[in-house]
Amino acid sequence: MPNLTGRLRRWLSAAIPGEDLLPEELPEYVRSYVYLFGSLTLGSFGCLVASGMTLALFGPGWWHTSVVGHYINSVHFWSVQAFFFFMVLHLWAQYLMAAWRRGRRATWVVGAVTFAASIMAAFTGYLSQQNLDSQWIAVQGKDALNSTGVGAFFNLLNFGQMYSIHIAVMPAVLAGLITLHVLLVRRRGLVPPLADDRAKRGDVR
Amino acid sequence: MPGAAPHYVHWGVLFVTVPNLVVLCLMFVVFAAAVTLRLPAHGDARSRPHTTPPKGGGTDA
Repeated sequence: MPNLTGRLRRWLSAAIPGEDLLPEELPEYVRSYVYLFGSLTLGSFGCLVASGMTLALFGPGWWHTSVVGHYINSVHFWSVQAFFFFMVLHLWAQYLMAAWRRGRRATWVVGAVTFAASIMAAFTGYLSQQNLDSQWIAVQGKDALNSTGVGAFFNLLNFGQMYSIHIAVMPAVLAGLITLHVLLVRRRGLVPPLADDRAKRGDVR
Repeated sequence: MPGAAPHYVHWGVLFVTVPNLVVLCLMFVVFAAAVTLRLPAHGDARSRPHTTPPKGGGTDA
């Protein structure tokens, strides 16, 4: 009878497409700028993590007062702008090409959940800036969240809670979701254009 | 909001700040460009089909 470790190993080797993880060749239809938006989102996330880790190491007293701190803070801010910019373009592209086709439903759902989690990460990031903006947003937003009934365990005025969620919980959640999303893309393959599907079915107009 | 109040553009009940409208327009432009412009061929010759026979005989055998 296989033990838990053995079963986990077999499940992982079946779930993770070893030889497809970093392919050297891609289908011809991928030679389009439209297929770059996902990679650009991933690159922005890398910049976010790197600049965020630097900010977390030195703290608000550094990022608000030193020249390098200002710069890294700006890199983090503009990485967020790029992250959402490219993620929304990626969403448009995948929606318009019905990217959930042919067994890619899980990829689509994980992507949508990642989008929602990113909004949560961005919101707690706004609240962690330690400036007038973050205080304003916290005081304005608390009433909205209290009206939904979550204020008792999600308190916008509690900086420690918002900062912890932003630098510990949400990065881990996002990294896990993005890893799962990329693994699903590699496992199911990149979705072909709709025209390719129509041509295969023989109903070219 | 703290700082200077942003300008808004109104369409009936819909309203959006000018900076947000600019970003939205930019997104549409980038998306349209990505759909219409052709990505250049990869620089690595191995990723393209051979147009000339390789040196030394022309076959891999």
